[in-house]
Amino acid sequence: MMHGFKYTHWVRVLRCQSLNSKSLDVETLLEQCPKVCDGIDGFSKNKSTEVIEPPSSFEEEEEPLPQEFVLVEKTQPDGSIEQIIFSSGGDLDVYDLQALCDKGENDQKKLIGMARATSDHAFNATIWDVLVDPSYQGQGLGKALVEKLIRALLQRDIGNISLFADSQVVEFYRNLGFEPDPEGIKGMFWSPRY
Amino acid sequence: MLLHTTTTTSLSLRSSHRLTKYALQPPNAAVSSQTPASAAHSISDTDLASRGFGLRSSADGLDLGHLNSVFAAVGFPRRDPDKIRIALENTDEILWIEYEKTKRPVAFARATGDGVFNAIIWDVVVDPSFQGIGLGKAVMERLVTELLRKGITNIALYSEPRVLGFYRPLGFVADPDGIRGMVYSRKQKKKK
Repeated sequence: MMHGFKYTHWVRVLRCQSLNSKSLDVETLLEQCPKVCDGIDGFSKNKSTEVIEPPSSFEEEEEPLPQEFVLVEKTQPDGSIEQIIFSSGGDLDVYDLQALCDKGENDQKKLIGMARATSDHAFNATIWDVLVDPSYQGQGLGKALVEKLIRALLQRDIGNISLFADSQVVEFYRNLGFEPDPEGIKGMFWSPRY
Repeated sequence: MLLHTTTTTSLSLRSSHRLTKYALQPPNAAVSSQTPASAAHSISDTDLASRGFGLRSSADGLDLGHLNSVFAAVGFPRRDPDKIRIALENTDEILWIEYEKTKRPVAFARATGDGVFNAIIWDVVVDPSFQGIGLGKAVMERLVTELLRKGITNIALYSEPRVLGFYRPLGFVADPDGIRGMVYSRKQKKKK
């Protein structure tokens, strides 16, 4: 089928074209050749990509591939013809490229913050580990995390929400509705004795 | 002596993985020949038993109505027994002392947490009729020992001002390194 094409850098590009002008169908593209992304990554790291077995029609020949040719032609149920075209050279939209790589394995989602709470699911919850990637701080993400956490706990009728705050973040939590040492109650920690 | 919280972000809360830099010496560390747990407790298990008290480490056999009565006796608000049941089901460590004669709980404490780094001790109570004879201490010592045995070294609690003196000899320190215990208050929220 489609698996056979040889490429060094990313110059070879696959385009899927339906003759009644539907937009580029990335899913079909990926089904046809999931290796495209490896090739693209290969370019940015300047490493050569692997050679995949070329289609049988070219096996015997050493001459260069034509600029553009139809690899597969399929007639759709509605009568339109879908062509998968191999082309080399030409322009490539970088955003299309990004979108293609984003699908499947190359998931671009990155964890940049989190907060967690432990609880007995009835009375008490304690918030631990409120973290925001330093590059993303100052945008209200930490505040959003904590507010959402509080709302989720209150919705479950867990009324006693507590935490232990380093001195420099006491104000941060005060602004979110937390009170230090309410009624003189003190946070205490067990400490090893030497 | 206590933990320094490395603040890689401006929002970090105290987290116990920083505790690993301390060489932890649990009470029974050097004692391989003796019975581990009771070696360093102020009152031994056998001592408790001889005085008619049984140590229990699960909610089995714990009458929640009786527990609620002890809570009320020490001034806690009375709670919905169903909620107490849910709380206990979601509690990692429970320790209580049963008075054999009445089969009632006379001391109780529990700890919640993530099971690896952090634990918080809640609801430490001793029936007023049984206070002052070391039952609270017995429960607390064993609870801490058990948490440490599981490798949980960040053990916290919230103490009313009048019982700070009870927790200090047990090894608890208030506001270490300026860390403050904070509680969410619905009325408290500042308007921006």
